[in-house]
Amino acid sequence: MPDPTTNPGANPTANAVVNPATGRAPLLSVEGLRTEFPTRAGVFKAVNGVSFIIDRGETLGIVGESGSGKSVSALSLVRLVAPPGRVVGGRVMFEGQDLLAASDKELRRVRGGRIGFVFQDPMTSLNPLMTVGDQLEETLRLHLGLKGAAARGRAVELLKHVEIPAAESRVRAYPYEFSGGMCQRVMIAIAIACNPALLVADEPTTALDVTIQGQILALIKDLQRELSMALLLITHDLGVIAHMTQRTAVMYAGRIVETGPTSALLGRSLHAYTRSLMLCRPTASDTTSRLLTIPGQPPNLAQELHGCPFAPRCPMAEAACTERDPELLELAASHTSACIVAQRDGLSAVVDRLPAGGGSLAGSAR
Amino acid sequence: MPHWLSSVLGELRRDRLATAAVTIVMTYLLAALLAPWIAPGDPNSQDVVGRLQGPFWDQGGALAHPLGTDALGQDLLSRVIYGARASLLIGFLVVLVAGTFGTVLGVVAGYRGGRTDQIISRITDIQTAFPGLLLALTILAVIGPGETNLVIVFAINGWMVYCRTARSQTLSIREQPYIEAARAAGSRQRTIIFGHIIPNLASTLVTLATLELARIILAESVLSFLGVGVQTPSVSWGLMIADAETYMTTNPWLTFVPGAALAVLVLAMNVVASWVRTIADPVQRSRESIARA
Repeated sequence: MPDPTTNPGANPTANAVVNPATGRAPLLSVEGLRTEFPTRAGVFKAVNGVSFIIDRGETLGIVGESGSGKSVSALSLVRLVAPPGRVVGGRVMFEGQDLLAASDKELRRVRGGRIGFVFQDPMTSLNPLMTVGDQLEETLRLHLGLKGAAARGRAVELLKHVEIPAAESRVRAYPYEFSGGMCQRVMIAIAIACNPALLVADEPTTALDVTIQGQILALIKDLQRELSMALLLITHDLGVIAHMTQRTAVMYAGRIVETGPTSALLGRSLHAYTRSLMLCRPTASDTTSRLLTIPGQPPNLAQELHGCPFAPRCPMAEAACTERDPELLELAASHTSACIVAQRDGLSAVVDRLPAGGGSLAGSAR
Repeated sequence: MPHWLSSVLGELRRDRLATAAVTIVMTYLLAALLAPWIAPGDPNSQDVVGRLQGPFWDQGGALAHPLGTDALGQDLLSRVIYGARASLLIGFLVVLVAGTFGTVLGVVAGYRGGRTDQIISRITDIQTAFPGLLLALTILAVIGPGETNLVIVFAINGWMVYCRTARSQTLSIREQPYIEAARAAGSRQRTIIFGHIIPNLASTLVTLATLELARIILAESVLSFLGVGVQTPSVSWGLMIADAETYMTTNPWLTFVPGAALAVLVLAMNVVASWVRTIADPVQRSRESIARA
């Protein structure tokens, strides 16, 4: 993965990014994406030099806590960040097109056409005054030019596709007549209406209860296989990540701190932050001890950060961690980390200093 | 019959108060439209001998003038019917002009934000700072009274409330996830404003417009009463009340008839307004129909 700090925007050719694993241009490549929100307290750098690639049909998970910039990154891909927020740097190549340089008209064709979006709160993501059918048809009209009976027919088909029972009559229902899970199915139907190459699912199950969560994730997985879509899955749930994705990127303070194959990243984490997150997960077997937490707060992104952004909360932080800005380096096969200690001492450093079930993290549990 | 019309009529059947109110408003509208055909006579034909006749059931009343005559012997019923014309026409025109203008400005201010919002909001503030009646009297004194000028004055005085309401509603609707979802689905700004934001504003704005219509009709009567509004030979309820003022103690129905015409219309419009608000919201709509079933 090219690091924007080591090749500062020098390459003028459009399709320069090549996935080293496949030797071909990926479906989506994001380089050095930066998104800022001007606030009274200063410029809030919500996304600060994020780079990743997604191949056709592949699933990439982005995991991180609230405010780490996961959602803003996803919205920035197609310049959906609400003003005053704005994308201030980077390059987003999608199907050979630079989305950050594209015209509004070109972008509208990509949004909902080539890239489908599913958001967190299904109950409010649908216009309460329009029937679900009308909302589906709006997308069909916009991108495929379908009208009238043809659009209605396709809308019913799509509702069946996302397993909504009695789709013929439900197409005339209003969102309030649907449960949260059903609304999310409608959102998914809208997102896949035009056979997109990429589905962006931003915490698609956070607002749903656990059984529905499983159903929705299974549906997304089935549809992905069936339509051979790539999937960008944003979540804070490591279980979902493990279950759904092949590769994962961990975000912290607007940066990607670790990327790698999901199993390697969760099993042999090469970053103190990822490892800490893993240790905070509740387990079914241990019901007596208190849950671990990571002490402290994420840094204020409106202030200039020096060194590793996780260093103030990191139990294994050293002087070196605050002295220089970490770079994302490949430490194992396709596994990159921005952890300065791990870069020097390797995997054992992280595992030894952050042993499961205690150590320095336990202090925070009081 | 189009689908929406039959569903609106279906809703109406379920609500008897609303049915009554809509019927009353429709009656006024028809009376205004068909005045030349349904009025018993010319509203301006004077008859000094037959002046100040009571209504037909009263002493000295006659069926030739069902509601009696005024101080100039003009037929009161005809004048009330013709008066509906001025009131409703001015009211609807003002709501149309001020409502459209104010709503568009408000939605643009709310949706675009930033400098656009600043400029539009300050203009609204400045306009609101003028005392409405004083401004109306000043303008009418300069450009002269009359129906057209009344519409202009009321529109100048009345658009701010739509602008502010539309702006504040837009600010909250703009942040709704379904707007973001619509943008993510590739909808253009026009579709989002007209397809998602304005429909979600509509119930508020229609309610506001109906209340404003009632207010404008009252205001028209006030200005006509003060002599700067509708001028003879045109007929207006306010003008009729002004003319009847002298006879308030001796011939009270002269005041009562146009006053009642005004009050009933304004009341009916308020009922219609709250009904419209109810049926414009699918959740409310189903709640109401279940409650009544």
